[in-house]
Amino acid sequence: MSLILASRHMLDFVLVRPPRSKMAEEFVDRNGRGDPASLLHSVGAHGDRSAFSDLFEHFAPRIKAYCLKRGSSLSAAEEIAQEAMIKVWRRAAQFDPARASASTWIFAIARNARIDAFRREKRPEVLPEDFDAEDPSSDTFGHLADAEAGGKLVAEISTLPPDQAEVVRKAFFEDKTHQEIAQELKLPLGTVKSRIRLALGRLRKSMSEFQP
Amino acid sequence: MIRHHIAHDLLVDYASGSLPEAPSLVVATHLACCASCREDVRRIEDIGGALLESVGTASLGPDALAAALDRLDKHEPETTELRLDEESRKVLPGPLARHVHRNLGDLRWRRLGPCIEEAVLASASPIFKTALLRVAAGAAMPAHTHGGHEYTLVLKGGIRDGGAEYRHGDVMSLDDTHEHKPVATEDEECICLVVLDAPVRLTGRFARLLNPFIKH
Repeated sequence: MSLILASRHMLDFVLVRPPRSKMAEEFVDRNGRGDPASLLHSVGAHGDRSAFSDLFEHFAPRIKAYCLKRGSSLSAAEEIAQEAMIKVWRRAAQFDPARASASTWIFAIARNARIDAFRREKRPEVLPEDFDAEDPSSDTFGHLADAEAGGKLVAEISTLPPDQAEVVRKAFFEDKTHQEIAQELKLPLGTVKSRIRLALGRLRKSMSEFQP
Repeated sequence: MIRHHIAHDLLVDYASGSLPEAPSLVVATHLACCASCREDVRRIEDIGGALLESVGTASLGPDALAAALDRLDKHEPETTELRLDEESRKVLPGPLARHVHRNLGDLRWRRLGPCIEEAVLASASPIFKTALLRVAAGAAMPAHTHGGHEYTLVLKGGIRDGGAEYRHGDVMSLDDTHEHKPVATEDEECICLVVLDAPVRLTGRFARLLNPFIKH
């Protein structure tokens, strides 16, 4: 019973509506206009509405699914997806492909939009202009390619031990902090910390093989 | 040069979007000062980005894209423009400046002792207390113990505590197992951001919320 539950949960963690043919849907370059990073660049540099439409069609339904997964109502999820995409339009010029992949950057915007709406709290944000000038690092690190990383991650999560998959799911989809996860699972905080650390380390390692 | 960073579990809570506003303010303010923690957060956000790609899709209403396109050209300023004086700009990193939203001199400072003043900041949740603390150079901050967590982020000057020194951007994170006796360094006055997490389940919450630094 617990095995069945564990595997159901893991599937639940990954997919709202499982695509049939592939583990993860890749970005469909319908109009031959390029990948999400180039589209974001077109939006930021030229205010390209058609590039924005392509981004909207790919990301808005995913943001909505993400919000539903984290407990938003249908109408709230729709609204947050809208708000997040408007922010994508406004901030596209700040997108730096050297610093993050398009989906990582849009995830951060969607996450913040959801917090602003859901908790009625202001999400303290860090903007590029906030960085300390004397900071020695220019923040240019390798990062993941967009769609492959998603597919790879899905496959990798299914290989995580169930106890690790469970805590990662709770952290990313149930709005729970380490402390809250520890309380709910009646585990010592240290155990939750190490499970998440192990899981993220493992996911990151497997995804880093996809770095461009 | 940042020496005291944010713990990894807190960065995960922040990056996954689970961390409440008050501790998030500490994390965001630290991130403005610390490239290495920014990199850690970005790596955790990569997991979020990959999850977003693989979470599946939920269709939006038929007019959603048209409605969004309609809004693109409308001028909807995200935040009101922030004009701070030079000192406030220097002391308050961006995320904190936008939260405080006024000059240091315009905050309501309350004297807690001969060498200490406190300005309580707005907080969306009553279980956290968020405040700026201003301590005279070389002055001892009163020793205290408390329930829950306390995060202290140095904005100006420095703090010495238990053999460690904390400077601009450094974070001192303490839980109730610590008893500490922080002292401001002698070079200049110290201003820091303090977030106190006083969980509801603990008794004596109100006393602590009213004044965490009064017990000495």
